[in-house]
Amino acid sequence: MSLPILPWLVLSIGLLATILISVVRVGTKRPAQIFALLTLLATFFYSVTTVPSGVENVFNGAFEVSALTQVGLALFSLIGCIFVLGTSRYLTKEGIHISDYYHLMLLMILGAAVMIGSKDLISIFIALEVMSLPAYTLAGFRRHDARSNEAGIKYFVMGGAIGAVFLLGAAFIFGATGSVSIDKIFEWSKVAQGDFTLFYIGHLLVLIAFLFKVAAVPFHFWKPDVYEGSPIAVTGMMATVISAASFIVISRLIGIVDFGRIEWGAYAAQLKQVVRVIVVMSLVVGSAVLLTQSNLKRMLAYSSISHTGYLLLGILSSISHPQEIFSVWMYLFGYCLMTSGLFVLLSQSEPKADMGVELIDLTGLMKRSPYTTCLWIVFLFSMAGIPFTVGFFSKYFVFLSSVSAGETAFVVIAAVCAVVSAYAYIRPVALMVMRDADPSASNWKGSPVSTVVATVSALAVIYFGVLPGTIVQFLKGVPIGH
Amino acid sequence: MTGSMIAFAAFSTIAIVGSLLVIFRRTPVASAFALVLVFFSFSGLYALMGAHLIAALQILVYTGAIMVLFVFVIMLLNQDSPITDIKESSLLFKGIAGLACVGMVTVLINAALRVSGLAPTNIYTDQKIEELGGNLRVISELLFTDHLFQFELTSFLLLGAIVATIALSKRQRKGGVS
Repeated sequence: MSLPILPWLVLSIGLLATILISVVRVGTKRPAQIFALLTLLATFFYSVTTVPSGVENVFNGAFEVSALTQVGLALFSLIGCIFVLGTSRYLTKEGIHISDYYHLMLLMILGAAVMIGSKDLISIFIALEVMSLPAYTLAGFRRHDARSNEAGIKYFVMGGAIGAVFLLGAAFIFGATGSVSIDKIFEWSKVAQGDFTLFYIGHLLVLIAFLFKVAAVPFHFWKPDVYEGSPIAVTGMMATVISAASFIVISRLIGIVDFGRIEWGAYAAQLKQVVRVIVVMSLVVGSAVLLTQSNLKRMLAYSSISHTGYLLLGILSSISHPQEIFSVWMYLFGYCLMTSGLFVLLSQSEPKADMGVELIDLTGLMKRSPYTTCLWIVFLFSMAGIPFTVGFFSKYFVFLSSVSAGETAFVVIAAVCAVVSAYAYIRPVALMVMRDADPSASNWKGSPVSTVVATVSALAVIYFGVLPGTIVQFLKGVPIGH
Repeated sequence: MTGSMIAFAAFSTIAIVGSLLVIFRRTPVASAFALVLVFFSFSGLYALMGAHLIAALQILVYTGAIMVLFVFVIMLLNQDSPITDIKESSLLFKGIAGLACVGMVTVLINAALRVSGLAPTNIYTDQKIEELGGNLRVISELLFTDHLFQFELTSFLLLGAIVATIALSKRQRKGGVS
């Protein structure tokens, strides 16, 4: 008997076991940590060994098991492993190394992994909440810090509003099409006649909800504050798992109607126009404000806003050329790899005051710890998209897809923004290598495990930056939902 | 004008006035009670549409359980004096927010005006529901067959809510394990 949802089951059973073991062994975090790690490793193992070639719908078509969803699950559990191993010392230092942290983290990963497989507006919504609820809580986990409380509350209120917008949109779509199932809506779009205004409004609203989640401009105001206030390990999970899952859902929601049909032509053109405006605004605001930031976490927040711009550029080209969606998968893969490594490095800081990590803390790092500096340089270069790192190929394939979809003007804008933001990524490198340590600069001290984890990530960033062939071939072969 | 039209107009007016009161009353308790009014009129609207189960659940869950929690929280926080605004935001942001609201309302009104042109699914008519054995039976059957996945997923949502609540309400010491 084959059980297509086995990897998801492994994750859920592991989650329950982790919660149970913490109930039995109260007062120490170690069992929860070990169980969480084992769960994530087992999930990773099962999801990469049983990748299906086709698309299999289970639960009356409410859930999709395919190469895309299973590799997504594998990626999320890998990121989970990176953060469990890499930030253990940071959590102890912050006083938040408790078993609840691991329960919530596993739940967040489970929510994200279920959300990317959901083919039904109701299950997308519930999975979105399963993913977000732990994130709100974790954002406010440093309870002695007012900024962490602010981040938690802000994220919660914002997330509540996002949920309401999504539900409103889903209600409109249900009213217009008579179904909440994505497959059935697609079937409807092939034969539907008449006035589609109600559907347009619903579709835009559900998209806006997820654009909020990935903080595309003008829906980005919450992101810098939430990034700054949350614990570094949690910010890292938000930047990778939640963004990647939201982008996979955005691509699913964009492809909900049959744009090949002539009746949808006018709407496709309008939708593209909307996405183009958001792409340009995200790129420009992300790259420009990136230059002015001195707090490293705020910097990474604006950096992720500009990455959102590149990813949406890939989504834009997939509206008319669905096969180009592989460039988005490639970008997400590279982005998750380098961002998780960068956040593990960031968690090694030991700021003197309760001020967060500033650029000045990086000064003279080359003399203090040359090895860590090399890792920093790899990740920052990858963020900037410099060749021989995975960041280069991420941008390269998105640009290539957009050119073949005829969005050349936007590729030019994106390239200019990439050059501008490269300055912001190279500036910390200059501070590390060329300046002497500032007297107020904080110490950097990571556990050996976290340095090993960061090294492995850095090697992966370089490996896929030199030889991207295998992963690109694989991602090109991932079947597209419709 | 039929009786149901009059009832619809009455319930919607109460709902709109109630929600305005929720926002504009400065005393939290007054806002909370205005919200009860809104929930009751919603329940009336659901009953008018033939969704008797949802109407009953609306009263039981929202008015009965959630509003009691609201009132408890207000009582525990001891906020019987009117709260002043925490921080005045700039005129520019107020303008942008106002414009966005006006735009949204325009879009929604536009949608409401066009809704008659579209016929939503008519699988479950009043007669059909009656034949199948009533609202409760139809909804339960759907919940445990077609939407089983979503139903099970909700249990993880509740689990997450429990773990999150415990994590937030536990006493926490800096630098230590709790």
